[in-house]
Amino acid sequence: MSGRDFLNITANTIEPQAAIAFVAGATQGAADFFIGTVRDHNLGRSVRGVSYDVFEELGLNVFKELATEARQRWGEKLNIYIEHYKGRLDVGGISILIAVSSPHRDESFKACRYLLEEIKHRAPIWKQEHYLDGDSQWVQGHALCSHGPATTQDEGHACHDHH
Amino acid sequence: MSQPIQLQIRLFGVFRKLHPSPVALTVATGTTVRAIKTALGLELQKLNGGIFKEQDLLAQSALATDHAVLEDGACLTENAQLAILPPVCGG
Repeated sequence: MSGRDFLNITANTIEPQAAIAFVAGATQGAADFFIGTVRDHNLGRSVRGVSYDVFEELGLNVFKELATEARQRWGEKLNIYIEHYKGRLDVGGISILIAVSSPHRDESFKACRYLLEEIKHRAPIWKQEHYLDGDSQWVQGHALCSHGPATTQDEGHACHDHH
Repeated sequence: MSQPIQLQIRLFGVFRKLHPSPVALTVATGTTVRAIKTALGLELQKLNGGIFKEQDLLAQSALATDHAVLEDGACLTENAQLAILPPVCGG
């Protein structure tokens, strides 16, 4: 029997407890969680918040593709929870939460990391940083293309993320 | 002669500052995504009083439907709602 998905983009506060409850199950001996939050600095500038712009329709399709890819790699039994924030967050706010559970730990560790890295490269999401000096700036990112998994973590791109 | 098709292109990320609503374009049937991006740049320039400094960014950006990112060489043959997506940085 295949695992279950919760895939969401929200303007509400992201609640980790909901993810813990969703991925739990009697067959799942392991669960791995990633929580991304807004950091108070980036590239030498003091950050007071970040606004997240999201193309929701395509974004949810990308999340669905990624869940399928994760199951192809690490097994059908994965339970997967992906939630990304849309709107403005202050420092410390949760921007993304990924939770994966599996019968054994290795699969959930790897799948969770995979989902995060692929979201950074493939999900139609943009960050605008707001600085203490009153300035704001869109963060440089990864150019999208129509192929599948990024597969490698290309550090040549200039996405200075918040985690 | 090719029949025209109507496109509505939503703007995201850094492009939002250039226009508050989707940009309407009319192009010939069979126009490539690459050519549509060029036409979008010209339209954004017109909408911004002849000023458009995001040419390099537009070249790095992708056109997409609600379901998929389009290849630059793909051709559009019917009316569509699209989005222009600058380089992404989620998470």
